[in-house]
Amino acid sequence: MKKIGISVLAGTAALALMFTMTSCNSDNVENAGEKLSILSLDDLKKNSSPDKPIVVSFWHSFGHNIEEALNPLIDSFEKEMEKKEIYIDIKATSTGGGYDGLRGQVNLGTKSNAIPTMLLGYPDHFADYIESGILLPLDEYVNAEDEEIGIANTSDFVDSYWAECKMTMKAENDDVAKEHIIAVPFNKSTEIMYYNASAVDPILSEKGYLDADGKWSQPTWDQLFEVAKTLKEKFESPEGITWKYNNISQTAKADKSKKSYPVYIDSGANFFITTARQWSDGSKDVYTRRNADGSGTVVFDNATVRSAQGTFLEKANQGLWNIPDKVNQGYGSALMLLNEAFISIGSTAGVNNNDSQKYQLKCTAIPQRSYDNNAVKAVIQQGTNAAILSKNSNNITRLAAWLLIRYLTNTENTTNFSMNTGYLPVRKTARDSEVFKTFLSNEEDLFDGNAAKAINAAYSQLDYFYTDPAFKGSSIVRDKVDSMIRTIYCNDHTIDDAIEACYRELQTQRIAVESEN
Amino acid sequence: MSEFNKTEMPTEIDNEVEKENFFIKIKNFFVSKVSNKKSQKNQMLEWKKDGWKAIVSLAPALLILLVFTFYPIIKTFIVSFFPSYNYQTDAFGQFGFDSYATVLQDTTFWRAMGNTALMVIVSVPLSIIIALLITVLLNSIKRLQGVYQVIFFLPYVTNGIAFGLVFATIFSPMDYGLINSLLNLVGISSVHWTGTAYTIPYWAGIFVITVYAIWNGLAFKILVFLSGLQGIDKQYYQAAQVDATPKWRVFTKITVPLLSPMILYITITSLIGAFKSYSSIVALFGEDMGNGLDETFITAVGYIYKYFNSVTSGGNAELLSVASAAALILFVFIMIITLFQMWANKRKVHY
Repeated sequence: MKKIGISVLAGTAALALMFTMTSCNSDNVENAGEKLSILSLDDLKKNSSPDKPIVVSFWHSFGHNIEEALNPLIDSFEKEMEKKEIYIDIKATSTGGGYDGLRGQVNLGTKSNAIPTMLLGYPDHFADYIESGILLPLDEYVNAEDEEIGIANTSDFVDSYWAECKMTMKAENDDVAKEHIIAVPFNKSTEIMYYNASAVDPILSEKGYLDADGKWSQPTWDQLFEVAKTLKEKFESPEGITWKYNNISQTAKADKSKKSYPVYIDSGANFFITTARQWSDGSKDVYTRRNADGSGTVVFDNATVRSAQGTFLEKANQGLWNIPDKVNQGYGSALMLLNEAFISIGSTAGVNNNDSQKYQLKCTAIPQRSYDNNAVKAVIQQGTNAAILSKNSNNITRLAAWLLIRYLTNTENTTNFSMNTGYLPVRKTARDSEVFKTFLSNEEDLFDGNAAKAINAAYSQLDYFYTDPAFKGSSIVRDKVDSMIRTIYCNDHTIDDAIEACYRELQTQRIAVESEN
Repeated sequence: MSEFNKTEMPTEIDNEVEKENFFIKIKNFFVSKVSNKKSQKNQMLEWKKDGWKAIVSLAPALLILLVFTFYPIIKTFIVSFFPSYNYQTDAFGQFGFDSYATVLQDTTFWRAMGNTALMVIVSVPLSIIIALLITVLLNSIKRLQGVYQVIFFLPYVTNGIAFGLVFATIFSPMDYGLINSLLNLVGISSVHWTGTAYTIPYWAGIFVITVYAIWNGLAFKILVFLSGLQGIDKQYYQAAQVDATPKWRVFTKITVPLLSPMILYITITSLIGAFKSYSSIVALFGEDMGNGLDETFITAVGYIYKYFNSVTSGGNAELLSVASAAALILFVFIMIITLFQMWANKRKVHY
């Protein structure tokens, strides 16, 4: 009997393991992971019906507002396909935890095939997917001769966006790793400077920083700190700062029990990387370096970074600016809405969070160190790209996913998506279209005005866009730099100590580091 | 049970007399089971005949335990000995102790263990003593006992976010925080208790963690102690009353000894819980676990998560082995302390 008992227990254990494997293997795609072969639309027609559509899972991390702009485009794609008797069911899902959360879910789900057909992500996420061998190179789709599949005019994509979508990987038929198109640019943003024009414009005018059109068009850090100094003095004065907006008088006055700064910079990591570039002479990498073998090395322990951070730390200690963490907030926009700050540097995607009924919102480029010809000018290029994963897909679902990507990024749809969200269109023809130009000229429009303001500000610095090289671990470096900035500006560590601590931390994460001397 | 089923258990109960006989038979059956040595032999026979029924009944629970508890533990154990284990490809690589060496040589790990030990040493005894005293007081009052019980049990059923918000208001590092307002009233300057905005002094952070741990765990402890207290035979207290025994002596000589199994249970579970502190630290001090890169309040589980999160966030996939090794070391620590605790309490626990 004991033997029977043991057998039953062993059976239960086996069953448990079987269940584990079964539950983990959510692969219900026939021939998942098969060798890439470019099919035709006729193949999709043969392999789909109204009762049995081709199912494409699509993971993104958009919030409700952006989903409202994306979902109608997906619906219209499905209808377009239906007209061709191709039945595709796009299952779009917004994963939790932002794009890092999405990446985490893909990384954890890779082994068990709990991954989507297509997704949105950043280049450093794609570096992970390349490492785990699940990213599908898209060259054959892009270059397909079939005009219903290929993209004839890739040069229409904004050059810097398209460049970001090429990475080195070893595809199925490659003997050695080489450059492939691994994604298509989808939603693009950058950082801009938002300001309460009702409070700031009089100071800008007084200091002569406004151009003939009444715009603060080429701000520098020196100008920003000059303005911040005046704002601080006025804000802390007994009268405070007063203005009139929509015929209602407003007063912003410092609460002495609270610490406040006139300017906030939302992303510590972006601030660190951008200023390091602006302070450099452009002759060498000052943040990270991608090596010939695709690995990366951290190189920010250098004099350029120390000089940049030294300048900013001095200004922070004068109370002219800080990161929102310094006052237990996540974004500078929240403090602007409370009339506790007047200028914030953040993503174009957050434009609607800065709008207020209390003041006139204006947007401009982020400050540069200098606009001299020889000076390095830099602003980060952000936003995700659309890619297809090879592991939990077959050639049918891949082609369906590809057609969706192609549809979402055509001139008309990238224009619409941009006008509804504040993201930048990814195609030059979209940017230059009449409908888009009209949209941009209408900054005062009640509903679309904010997006237009943000995009105009973004375009004013288009020539300075940069992206950092992605490599395995590059996102960890960004995270640690974010912590390092908090360590300097919130925890009062010296710049040297913070860099040293950050390097130590990166080494425990097995990331290569290099100091200048 | 089969013997009983076949020979003694009536299948139908037709009338009152039969019902009475039925209950007598059940009573006799159980009495004989407990008192008669021969019946132990019968129980063995039952296992031989019906053991499979028990196994089948236990199977769902076993299945869940096997899948979600034992399998991960065994896998963690194995992975910790393969420093090059890559969780994405499931490639194990060479066997070795490198991950253990990495953890044991890492000063951050020992700082994490030190913080954890401090939290255990301070919060576990304090929370048990406070819970015990509140329980005895709750049990002794007659009026509004239910109201007080509800008040003390509220944290147990309160949403974690609401709990966190209340705590954030009390220990806000700003001048308007409840504690800071009180301190300011008596002329003491504000203390940076929580958050990421300022450097939090070590003593302040540990104080907040301790208060949080006590508050968070109090309700469950009171619940267990109260049920134990209400199970103590009233005769002991009546006898003590007849002898005019002082209350303190009643507490130490009757209440505590007779509650000792509950106290042991609570001590062990609280200790394990305190060793596993992590989410509360993140909630109080942010993902850096205190003071940016200093990670001032990092705990043992925080250390494990640091490496685990790094792997899922695009870091080196081999760091999962380091996280596994740290988890195994923590497991061994907890096991040693628990075994020691059980050994030390063997003579003091009255069953």
